[in-house]
Amino acid sequence: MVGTGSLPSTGGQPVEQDRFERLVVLMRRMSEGDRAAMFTLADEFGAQVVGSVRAHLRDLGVDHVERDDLDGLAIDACEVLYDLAGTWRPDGGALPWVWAAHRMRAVASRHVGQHADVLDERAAERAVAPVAGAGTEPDELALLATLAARLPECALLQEALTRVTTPRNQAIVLAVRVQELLGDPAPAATVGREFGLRADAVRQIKRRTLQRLRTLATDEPRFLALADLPLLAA
Amino acid sequence: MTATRPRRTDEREAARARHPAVRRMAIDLDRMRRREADRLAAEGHAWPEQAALLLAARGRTGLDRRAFAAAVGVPEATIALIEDGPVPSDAAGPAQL
Repeated sequence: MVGTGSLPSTGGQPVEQDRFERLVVLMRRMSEGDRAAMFTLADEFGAQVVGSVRAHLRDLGVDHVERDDLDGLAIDACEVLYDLAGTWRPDGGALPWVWAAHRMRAVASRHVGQHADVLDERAAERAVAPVAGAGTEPDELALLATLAARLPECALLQEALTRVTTPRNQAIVLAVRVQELLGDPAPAATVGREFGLRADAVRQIKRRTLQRLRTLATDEPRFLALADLPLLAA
Repeated sequence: MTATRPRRTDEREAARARHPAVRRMAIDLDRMRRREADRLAAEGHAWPEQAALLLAARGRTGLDRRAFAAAVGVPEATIALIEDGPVPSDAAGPAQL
């Protein structure tokens, strides 16, 4: 029987020793790619994850957040913990959401930034106004293919995208980037409507695809030039 | 009398679960399931809704694949097939399993 004393304070809410050992198991399973363990984490440690998100929001000056927004942020936080599970080490006794504080804060910051930026009215008008001739514009993949035939860096990006994800996800990532460059205040929502996806699913596709591109650029020297693309810094 | 008195730790856990503050801090697992289905669909999973349902259900039990398969009485490979989707040679959908 393991003890039930609280762990030494590492910031955030403490968990008892037996719960910590349960957490170690869940983090290991997540690091092995078990997505169900992320649901278990949310189910068994949801209060701590939500508490961490709320604490970061409070630090950023947000004392009240709508329940719906908080739910989305807490799920974002669980996704972050899933992605980082392989690099967390239990030896130091730090809870994952404390250890990953900067990433948890980034989750909160994105929410704050989304609601705190001054509205660019001209950009908002562009976002809601019908795009003239939109039906005749080449889609992003066709455009990239055209450019790839002429520009080596575009050909490299096209090849890399093909290596890391599906054509649909490639189109989503490129479409989001186009919307960002156009000044769309909610690019994921705009692209989500086009592809029949929720905005958070679009953001997730973009994040994962860019992460895979970064990994490719790191792992294979041939793709090193991609690391300098603004797309990967987005 | 045969009933066993609940341990104080069990009582504390039950009290915690009932506490309104804890309920407010819970994560919406159904929303997480829908998001997982979207993710799987975006990745081209053959049956994303069913896979997400199974992942969420297994997640709620807290069991790994092997233990979950044993608990529900199916081969572990069946759980893997539904969650991961078919390899190209698999023709059967989850409804046919």
